Amino acid sequence: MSRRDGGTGPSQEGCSRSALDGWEMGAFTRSAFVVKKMNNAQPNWLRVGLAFSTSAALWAFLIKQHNEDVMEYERRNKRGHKCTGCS
Amino acid sequence: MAFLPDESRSLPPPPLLNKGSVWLGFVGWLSALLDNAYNHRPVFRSGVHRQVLFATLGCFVGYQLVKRAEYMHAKVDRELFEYVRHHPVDFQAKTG
Repeated sequence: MSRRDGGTGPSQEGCSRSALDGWEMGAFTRSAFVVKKMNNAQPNWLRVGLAFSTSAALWAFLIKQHNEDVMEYERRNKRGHKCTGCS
Repeated sequence: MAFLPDESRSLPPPPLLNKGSVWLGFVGWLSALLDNAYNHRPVFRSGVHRQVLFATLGCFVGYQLVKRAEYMHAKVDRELFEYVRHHPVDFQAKTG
């Protein structure tokens, strides 16, 4: 978010700032303790790589789990048995 | 109770892209787009890694939730049919 007042005060800036300062100076990123100027022009390649690899891992896990579920369902129901031992 | 007990695997698994996983994947993608909008970035063209990650997370969570919902519905159905089976007097078909 581009608010600079910690979120609790009113949204007006101090009297020495114009209303355009937020747009001229760009957006900010903040945690509870530090405020840094965001630079969206240079990607953080580590985070990009982590995001894509996490997504790939999640899809692989999901597809594997789905195939295992299908095989397990077919295994349990192929004989049409009604036992409650394995279900 | 476990999120997905072992007997839930006796149910036919839902397709990978079911209404829960597609909808939550779309919600995840939308939240990535909203994040772009709130941070004054181009909405669709920026943060593709973020859009992909959030959509993936949504699909994943949606799939697990749909499996859990189908298990809960099947469990309730089983209990219902067991009750009907044990109380046939109450469930006679109307004659005459």
